[in-house]
Amino acid sequence: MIVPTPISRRRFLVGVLGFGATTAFIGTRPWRALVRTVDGTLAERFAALFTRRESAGAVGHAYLAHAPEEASLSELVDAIVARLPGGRAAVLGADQAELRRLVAARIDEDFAQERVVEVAGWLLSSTEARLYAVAALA
Amino acid sequence: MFTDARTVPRGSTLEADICIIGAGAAGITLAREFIGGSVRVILVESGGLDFDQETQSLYDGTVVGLPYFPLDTPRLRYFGGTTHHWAGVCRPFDDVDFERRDWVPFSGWPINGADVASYYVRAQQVVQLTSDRWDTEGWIERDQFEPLPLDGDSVVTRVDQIVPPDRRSFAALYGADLKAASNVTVYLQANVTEIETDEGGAVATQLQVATLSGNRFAVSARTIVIAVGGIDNARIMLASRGKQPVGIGNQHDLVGRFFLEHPRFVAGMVVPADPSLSVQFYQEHVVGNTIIQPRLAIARDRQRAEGLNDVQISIDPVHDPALEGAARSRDVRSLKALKDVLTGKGMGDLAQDLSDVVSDLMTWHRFTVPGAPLPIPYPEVIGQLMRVTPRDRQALIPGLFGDVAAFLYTKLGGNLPIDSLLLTARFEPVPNPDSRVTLLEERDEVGMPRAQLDWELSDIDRHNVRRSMEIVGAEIGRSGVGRLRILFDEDSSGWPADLVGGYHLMGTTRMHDDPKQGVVDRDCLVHGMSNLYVAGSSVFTTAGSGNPTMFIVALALRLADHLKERAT
Repeated sequence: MIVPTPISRRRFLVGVLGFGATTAFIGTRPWRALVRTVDGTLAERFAALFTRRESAGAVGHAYLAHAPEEASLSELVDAIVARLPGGRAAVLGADQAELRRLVAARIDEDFAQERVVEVAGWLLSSTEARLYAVAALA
Repeated sequence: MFTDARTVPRGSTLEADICIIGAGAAGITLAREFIGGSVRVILVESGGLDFDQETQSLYDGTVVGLPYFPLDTPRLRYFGGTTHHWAGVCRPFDDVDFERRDWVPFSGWPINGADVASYYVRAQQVVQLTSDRWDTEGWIERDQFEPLPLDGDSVVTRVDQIVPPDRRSFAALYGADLKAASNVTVYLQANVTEIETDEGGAVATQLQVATLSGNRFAVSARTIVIAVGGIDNARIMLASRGKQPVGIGNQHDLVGRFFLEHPRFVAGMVVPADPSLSVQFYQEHVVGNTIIQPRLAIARDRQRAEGLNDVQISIDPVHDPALEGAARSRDVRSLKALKDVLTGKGMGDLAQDLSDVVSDLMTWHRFTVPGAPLPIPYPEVIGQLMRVTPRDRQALIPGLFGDVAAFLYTKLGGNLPIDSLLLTARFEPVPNPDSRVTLLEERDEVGMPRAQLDWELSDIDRHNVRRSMEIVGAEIGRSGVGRLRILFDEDSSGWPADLVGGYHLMGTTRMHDDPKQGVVDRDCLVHGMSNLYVAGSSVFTTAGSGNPTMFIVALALRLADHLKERAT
């Protein structure tokens, strides 16, 4: 469990609600349809899942402040990919909408297995927190 | 019958078979059980039929340790007792509440759920509940509102029943029964100042009684029951030092210890994934003819697996302040008044109400281009609306279109959009011998030492709430409801500033078979004594998961049966 750090509620809201990765947010948010095809590295594709990248990055920095051992972009990406259904092959073969679905499924599974971390008191799935960290570093 | 103790001949000794001290939920329940029989009962009550500040001040005392209410606040000292401000919340203890749990120091009652099950059935009638159903599924089936989509393996929903306000006062419900009873005499304005015993301390012989007016007399009875609440039950026993220097029943220094409450504080906040989420199921509401209040709790199997005490969680929605403010505005009140006038339901100032509503509905005029053939907003207004999120756009409605328009908008949507949910955790604290009631040197107006309360909680309690919130947070995330923020730090040495009790004063004469671990035995008889009993929540061994009043009544009924059996 990560020790809480101060992060404003407003910034967290913008960070989380600007991210369509979880089933809940994907299912209810109007930007669900605004899935874009993003070329580039996996890190960029993960970061592009956030509609408000700056805010997501703020959450990511808060996470990394207490998990400095994870402050490597490549290792973060590898850790996220390794846990996604189908692994790297599935990710590379997925368009951005499919990637979003894979990530959402992983986040749901994290919560079901209670693989959660705490960032400034917020309980986030471990995959979700790493995605924020990617947004901070990418 | 009722008698004013100020009229009792000074220095006289009244006699009865049973004397009950205190006319609250326990004392009245107990006395009623003997109405019409051959047993002569005296019920001694400190107050009169109405609240009186001078009498209430006899409760004054000091508080050390954790912050707590002034001691005259959680209880009421007149006929009917604390039922006069009872919130009416009822739910039976679960079987596990009685068990010895290895992870809960000092847990384990000498009785179990089966021992009290039949008394709960009778207690439900005494407190006049309208339903005997306690299964959550049964309530969900009949409810118009939906619970959150939680899995049920880790986080469950419980349903409390609420007694309607007009049925909560035991004085109103049962005063007439006692007044009409020929074998029960209620002495009002009568304060017990000491319970006297024989030389060996095994038999309570008589009570010394004083009135605020200065009258003094005694009551002698074969059986005596103390039923004056979680603080004063201990206070009377500790103050009765005529033959026992440490107080009666206190040979193992247990009287007054293990004071328990049901502490609660706002422990978490949820940002919902969907602002239109409905949590009306978790608000107090009516199903059929019953008021219910559902709450979340950690599943018992999960508690057992992780070594957790009971925590139950209330959910309160927080709405956008702009929209909530609009719903409470004068213009919306005028709209409602206007509706009442037009439908013949009420009388209002038609002209003023109409003026308020019309002028409010014209709010948008301030943001439109003057002279345009259609209401065209200024471009910067359109730009602002385009830039903000849908959530923030809703908050702009009152300012742009007026309170009435905002109110109608939210009514069309069914609910005010939810900004966040506050989760209030109420927990079962670990029994703690350092949490205790003691006596002060200072005495009250009738000569009784005043009480001091030192309320203490433990690190186990802090971990318990924290871990429970983590479990809830994971389930909130898994179910797609949203994300939870925990609002307190387990590593902190203190407790949140909003920590309060629930007026549940328990544990100070706890029940245990072992005299070294409890003040009363399984029959509520004081250890080492033959005729002194205790009724009320002071006998609770642990605080349990249910609110105490219905269980107090159930235990009083059980004690009545025991005393009847003993009398035959």
